[in-house]
Amino acid sequence: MAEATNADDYATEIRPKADWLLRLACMFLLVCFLLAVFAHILPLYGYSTMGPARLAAPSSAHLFGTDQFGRDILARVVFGIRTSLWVAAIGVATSTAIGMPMGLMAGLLGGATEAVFMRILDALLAFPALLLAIGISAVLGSGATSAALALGIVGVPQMARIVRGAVLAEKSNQYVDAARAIGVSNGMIMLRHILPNVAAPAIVQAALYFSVAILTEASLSFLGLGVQVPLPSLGSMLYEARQFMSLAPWYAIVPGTAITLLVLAMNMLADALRDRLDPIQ
Amino acid sequence: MGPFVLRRLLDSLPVILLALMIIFAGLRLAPGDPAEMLAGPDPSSATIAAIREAMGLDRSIPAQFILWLRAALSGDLGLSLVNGLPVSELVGDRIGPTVELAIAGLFLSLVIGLTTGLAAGLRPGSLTDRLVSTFASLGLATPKFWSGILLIIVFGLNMRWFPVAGRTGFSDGVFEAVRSLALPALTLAIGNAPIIARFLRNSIIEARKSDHVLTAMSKGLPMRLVVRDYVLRNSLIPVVTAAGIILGNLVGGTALVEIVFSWPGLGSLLINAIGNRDYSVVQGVMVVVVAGFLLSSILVDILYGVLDPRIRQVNHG
Repeated sequence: MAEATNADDYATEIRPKADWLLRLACMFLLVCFLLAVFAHILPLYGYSTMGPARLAAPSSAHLFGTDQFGRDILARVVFGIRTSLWVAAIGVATSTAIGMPMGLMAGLLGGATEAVFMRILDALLAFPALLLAIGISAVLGSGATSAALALGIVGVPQMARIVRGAVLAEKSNQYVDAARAIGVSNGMIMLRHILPNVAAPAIVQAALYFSVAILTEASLSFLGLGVQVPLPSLGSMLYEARQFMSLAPWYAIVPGTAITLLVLAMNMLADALRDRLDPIQ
Repeated sequence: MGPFVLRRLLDSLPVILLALMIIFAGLRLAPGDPAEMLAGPDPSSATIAAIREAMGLDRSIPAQFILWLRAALSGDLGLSLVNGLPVSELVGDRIGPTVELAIAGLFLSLVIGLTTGLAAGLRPGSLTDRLVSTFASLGLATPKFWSGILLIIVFGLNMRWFPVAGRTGFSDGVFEAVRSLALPALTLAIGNAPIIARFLRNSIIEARKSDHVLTAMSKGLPMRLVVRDYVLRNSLIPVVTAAGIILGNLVGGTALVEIVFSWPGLGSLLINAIGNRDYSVVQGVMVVVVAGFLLSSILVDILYGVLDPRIRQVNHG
């Protein structure tokens, strides 16, 4: 995207994100992804291996210091990132797998199907997102799977609404009328003609929701409803670090920075995807 | 205005009913038998059966829902499964602190969001705009529990300006109450002010390009007046939309902030109840919070109608 010449023009177009910043964000996400995938073969301490040095400050032996049980914070953060990405990815996949067909059917079939689906989505939207995730985790019991499922359900209404909106816009095009006129079935129209055209907004929504999912997973773990011990999660590390704020501030700073950078980088990537794939939004 | 408000209230009835059904179904799906939990240790089967009957658990699920709904509407949210106290009493004690925190959070979000959004929107592309944009991105990406912890480390533990935990009621002195409220409310504002700032910035930039603003400027009105009377008035409507969005964030966010700051509100009651498997308290908190959230969303919509007559017209038609 070209740089605008004066201040007002600059502001009226979608603000071009500095390219180097976007590249940095993508590189950071790639590094996190690789760390997450290869965490178990990296030369790290075990995430639950206890050592003699408790709440030790960062040093060459423990780059980010140790926690109250003498466990290496670097190792726990790396495995925590793995947990975050894994749970968030399953959450996004679930919300797409449920929300996309709902949106497609509501948009294409209309009538009673649409009315019923939209009322269900409205009812889910009546819950503040985090509260709904907390409620679902409470019913399902804590753990990575239920956290991922909770994230999946919380993301459904947004995904379904966006896909439905895209279908409604697409449905009014002549090529759909033409397909229908020559007798193509609803299912075929959906798969062959409409799905490829609503993929872009769905991908953008999935990317945007990924960062929300990372934040929500961290929140659930912070509240004790996410991943359970001994598996580390960035949120539960922060909950434990809270008690040692004056003794070992680095304990809270490392996992907190990791979550913030992950979400920031993911937001930047999602914004860039939106600018490129979905200029209407 | 009257028909608009009535219509908005009627429109939300089915949603409220469905949301209540979801909450009710949630309790039915939760592990454990409420009658057994209420009966205490080693109960006889006759005791459990008696409690079941008293609670209506022996009836069909739809009948149970109607029974529960009728009780909930009259303010009876059942008994805590852990200590047997009325849930409405437990919840009632916690509503005040949570509402206080949410309002303070909303107020600070508006103050910070409006000033920074205005500064950025009036000089797009400037250093101020870039700074606001950077801090807004950071604020949105930072988990509330982490910004709360950082605020405690800096302003509570190091500088000792504010208490690090707990709540002082306004009856114990306004100054102390505000001091105990400051950090939790600021934590909420860090995550929510960016939303307001972004909405206001973009709508100011849009408004400055509109014909009536260009006319006002071309006839030589001082910039200060143009901004006050022509730009700001129209730019504030999207801010109401932003306020509607952050309502949900505030409700969810208070739960996290309450845990960080040991604030005795609904969020900490909810999390403790989940830990104790006290599902009737969980259900009670959910009902109250969802009702409060929906009511405030309706209020935002009504405010929208007050600010922008066109919205009332559309709803009439």
